[in-house]
Amino acid sequence: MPDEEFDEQACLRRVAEGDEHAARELLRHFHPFVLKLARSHLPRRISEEDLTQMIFIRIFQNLDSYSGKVPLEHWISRVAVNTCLNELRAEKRRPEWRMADFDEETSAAIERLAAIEIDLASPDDARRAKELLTQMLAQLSPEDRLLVTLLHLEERPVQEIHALTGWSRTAIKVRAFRARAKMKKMLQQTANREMIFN
Amino acid sequence: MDAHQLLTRIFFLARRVPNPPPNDMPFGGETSVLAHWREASARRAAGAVLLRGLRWAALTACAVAILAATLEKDELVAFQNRFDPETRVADSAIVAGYGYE
Repeated sequence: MPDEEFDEQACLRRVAEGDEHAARELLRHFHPFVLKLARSHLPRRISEEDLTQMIFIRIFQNLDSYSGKVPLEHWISRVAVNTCLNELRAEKRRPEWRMADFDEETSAAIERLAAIEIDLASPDDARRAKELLTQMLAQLSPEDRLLVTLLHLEERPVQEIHALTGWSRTAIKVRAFRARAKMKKMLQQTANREMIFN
Repeated sequence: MDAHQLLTRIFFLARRVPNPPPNDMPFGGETSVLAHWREASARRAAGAVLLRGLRWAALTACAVAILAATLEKDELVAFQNRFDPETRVADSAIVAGYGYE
C-alpha cells in the first residue's frame, strides 16, 4: 500500500463531511490496490480502467455503510470482489469447451509445459502458462473463475476467501475441487489428442 | 505426468509472471468517480432534508389532532349541559319510564 503516512480515519471523517480533497486522496491511495484486484478478476468485455472506476463508484456510494469493524482495506476488497463477480456474471460464458478451442500454438505450449524441467522454465514458459490459464479460466463459471484466481493464483487462504466472498469454507473447498476437475478435464482432452500424458 | 501435475505446474509458472506496475487512474476516471460521489451525497442530503420535513409534519399533525380532540371534548360537555337541571330531571324520568335504562 503506497503512502504510509496516509491517515485513514481522518480521511474518512473528512469524506463524510463532504471534503472533495479527502475523497480524491482516498481514491488515489487505494487506486493501486483496487487496480490489482480488478486485473485479477477482469471480465473479457471490460477494460481494467472501467472496472476500477466501477469499483470506486460503488465504494463511494456505500462508504457510509462502512462500520469500521474491519480494516478499510478488507472492506474495499470485498466491494471490489463482489463488483468483479457481478461483472463476470453479466458476461456470457463461452459455449461448451471444445478441443478445437485450443489452437495449435496453445497445444504446443501445453506440450512444452508438460515436457520441460520446472527449474529450467524460462519467463516465456511462465507467460505461456499464464495465457493458457487465462484461456481455461474463461471456460469456468464466474464463481469458479474467481475462486481459482484467489486460491491458486493469488494463494489466498480459505479464511480470507470466506471473508471476501461470504461463501462457507466447505463450499469454497468443494467448489475449488470441482473447478480444478474441470480444468484437468480440459487439459486431459487436449493431452489425449496430442498424446502428451503417459 | 498426469493432468493434476500439469495443472499444478501451470499454476506455479503462472504465479511467476510479474504483474504490470499499477498506472495512475486516468484523470477522466477520477473526475467521474468524484462526480458520482458528489451526486450521491447531494441526493442523500436532499433525502435527509425531506425526512426531517416529514418528521416535523408528523409531529405537527399529532399536535393538531390532540388540540382538536381537546376542543371537541369541551364542546361535547357544553352540549350535554345545554338544558337546565329541571329539564334534565324530567328527561331522566321519561327515559326511566320507557325502560330504556
